[in-house]
Amino acid sequence: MKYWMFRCNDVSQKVSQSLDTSLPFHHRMAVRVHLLMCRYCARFRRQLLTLRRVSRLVEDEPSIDQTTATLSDETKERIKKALRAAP
Amino acid sequence: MDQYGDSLFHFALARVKDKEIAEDLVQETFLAAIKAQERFKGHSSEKTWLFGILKHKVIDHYRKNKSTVHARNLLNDPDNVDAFFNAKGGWQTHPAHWQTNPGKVHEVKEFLDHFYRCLSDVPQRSADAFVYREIDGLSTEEICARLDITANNCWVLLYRARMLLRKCLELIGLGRQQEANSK
Repeated sequence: MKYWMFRCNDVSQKVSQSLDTSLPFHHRMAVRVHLLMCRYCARFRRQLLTLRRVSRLVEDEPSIDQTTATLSDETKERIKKALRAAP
Repeated sequence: MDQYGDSLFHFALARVKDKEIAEDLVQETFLAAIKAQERFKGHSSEKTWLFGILKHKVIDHYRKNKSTVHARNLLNDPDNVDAFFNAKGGWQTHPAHWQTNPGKVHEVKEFLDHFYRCLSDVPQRSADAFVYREIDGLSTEEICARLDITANNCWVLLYRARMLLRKCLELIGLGRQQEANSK
């Protein structure tokens, strides 16, 4: 497939790859033009970026859990004991 | 333990909904951290590193306890992502507009519940590549070394994982409501 004829299946692969490495200039341009014309591929790209942001969230950035449950003292002691016994 | 125990417990409990299982996952996380402490290079904070380990544990938990109907059942052939496109290379089913905003607490919480379940249903090697890349933040080169694969193979695995994950999330309802409203 020539890069100036990228279709949605090609673009989806390139969009995914672009999150992991730098694409060659001509591929980058072809993808960008396609994304301007194709709202579904543009959505797909936004979805991948959302997956990345959600994957990298930790508990308090932002606080995603408002539960007040905490480890009981008994449980903490049990875990500490297990850690001390670990080889 | 005293510093991060409760935060890890919150996260685990929110995902698995069971106090005892959540406690076990926290314990396993600390044990794994002790074993792997030499590999902690300080690229991320200690807290981020511990959460990374916990996320692996949560995914393993779901993988071992497949009691719910999820992607493997919903996606006919999880290895064939070509099926997402028609013969002309267009989308078979258009990607939906996700309303989830990772900045909004409640939306993220619900999203994460589905996210970890769906991830546990992605074929193992693709899921491993995804977790290394997106949760652990490893580079392509580091993933290639861990999985003993080429860079091209790595990108294929990551592509497959992302395609299946987003499809699974849509199949269980993400974006569906808006699509229905727009018809």
